[in-house]
Amino acid sequence: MREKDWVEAAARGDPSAFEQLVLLYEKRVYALALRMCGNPENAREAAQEAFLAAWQGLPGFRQEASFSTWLYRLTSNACVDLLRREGRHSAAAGPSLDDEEAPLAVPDTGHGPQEALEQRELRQQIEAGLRAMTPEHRQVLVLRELHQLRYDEIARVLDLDVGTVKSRISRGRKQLRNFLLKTGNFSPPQPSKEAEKEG
Amino acid sequence: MDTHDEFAALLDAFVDGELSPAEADRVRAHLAACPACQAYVTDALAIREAFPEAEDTVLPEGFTDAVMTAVRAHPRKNKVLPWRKVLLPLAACFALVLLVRHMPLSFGGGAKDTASVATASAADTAEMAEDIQDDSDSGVMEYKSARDTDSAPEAAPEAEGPAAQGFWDSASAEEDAAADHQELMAAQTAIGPGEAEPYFAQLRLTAEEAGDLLADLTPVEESETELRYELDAAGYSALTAALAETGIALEESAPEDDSSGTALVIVEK
Repeated sequence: MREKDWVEAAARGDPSAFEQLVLLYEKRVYALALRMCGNPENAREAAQEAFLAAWQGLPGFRQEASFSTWLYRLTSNACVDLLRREGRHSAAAGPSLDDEEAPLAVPDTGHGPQEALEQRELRQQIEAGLRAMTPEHRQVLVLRELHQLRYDEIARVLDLDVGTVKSRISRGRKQLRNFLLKTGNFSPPQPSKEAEKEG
Repeated sequence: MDTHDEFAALLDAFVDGELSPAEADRVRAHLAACPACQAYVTDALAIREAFPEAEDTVLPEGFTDAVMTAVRAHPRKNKVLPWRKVLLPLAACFALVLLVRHMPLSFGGGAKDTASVATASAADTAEMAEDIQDDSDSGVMEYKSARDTDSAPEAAPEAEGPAAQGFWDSASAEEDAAADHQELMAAQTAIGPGEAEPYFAQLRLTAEEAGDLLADLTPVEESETELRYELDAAGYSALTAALAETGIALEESAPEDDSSGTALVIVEK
C-alpha cells in the first residue's frame, strides 16, 4: 500500500493503517520535536501528542496540503503547547547542560576515519548551534534542512507568511554560521583562488 | 543593476532552490565575482552536508508502542461529518413538515383534519374512488387525465402534453412526501357517500387547460402548486361548456341538482 492508501484507511478508522504512518514518520516527527522542545522527554511527549492529534483529526484532513506537512504542523503545535504549559516557552533559547543528554546517532558516512570524525564533530556543533538559536529561527531552519520542506510548506506548518519564513531562514542560517565560526570547529573550505582573482 | 546587498539578500533562496532559473543564473554570475557571497554559499552548503538527518534520530524505547496504545485508548471524539450528511436530511425533514402543514386539504365545509385524511389507507381511498365512479347519483364529477395515477388512467387526448406532466412533478422530491400527498389527494377526490361534502362536482385542470377562463374569479385557496375556485352551478356549467369548445372532454355525471350547490375547480400551477 502507498502512503495515500494508509492515510485513507486510517481516516476511516483503521488503526493498523495508522500504525504504518507512525512507523513511516516517527523519526522525522521525533527529530523535529527534539529540536523544537530541546530535550528528549518533552520531545517524546510532544511527538506522541502530535500522532494522537493526527489520529483524531484524520477524518477531517482534506489533503489540501501533504500529509507530512500537516503532521509537521501538528508536531509544531504540540511542541508550542507543551512548552507553554510548562511555562518554558523560550526555554530552549540558550544552551543548557541538560540539552546535551539528547542522544545523537552520527552515522558512518563512508568517509575515511579522520573525515568521519570531523563530520561527527561538526554535526554535534550544529546541534549545539541549533540549541543556541532562538526558537523561531531554529524551527524554520530545522524544517528546511532536516525535513527539506519548501518555503511555502514551512509557512503552512508554522502558520507564517512566506516572507517571514525567508527572513527567519536567512537570520537563522547566519546565526548558525556565526556560531560555528566562533567555536572554531567549523572550517569551511576557502574560497576558490580563481574567484578571488576574478573579484 | 543589482547591488551587492540585493544579491546578498537572494543567497539563502539560491541555496534553498527557491529562485527562478533566471534569478539563479544571475546569482551564479555574481558569485563568480564576489568572494564574500561565494563564501556564504559555501558555508551554507557545508552546514547542509553536515546537518543531522531525521532518519538518524534515535527514538526513545517503546515509542511506537506507546503511540499506538494511546491511539487505541482514545477513540475519535467528534466525528467530522460532511455537512451534506447533516444539513440535507434536516432540510428534507423541514420541507416535509412544511409540505404537510401547507397541504391543501379543504373539503369545503368539512375535513380539515389532515391527520385523519393522511392516515387513510391507499386501499380505502381506491375503493372509495371506485364507488364514486360507479355511483351516478353521487353527483361527483371526476376529470381523469393521464396524470391521475391513483385510478386507471383514462386520459382525454387533449389532456396530454403539458397536462401529462404529472402532479407529482411539482411536489416535493422526497418519495415519502410524494406518497403521503398521493394518499391525501386520493382521499380528497374520493368523496365517499355519507361524508359531508359541499361540492356537487370537482374538476382538476392544468393551467394550460384553464387558460384565462377563470381569470375573473378569485381563488378561495392558493398553494404553491394549485389554485382552488368555487363555482356555482351556473358558473360551472359555463366553464364546462367553454372547456368542451376547446376540445377538453370531461367524464361527467350530471349533477343531481345543478341549480344549487358549489363546484370545486382545482387549477394546477
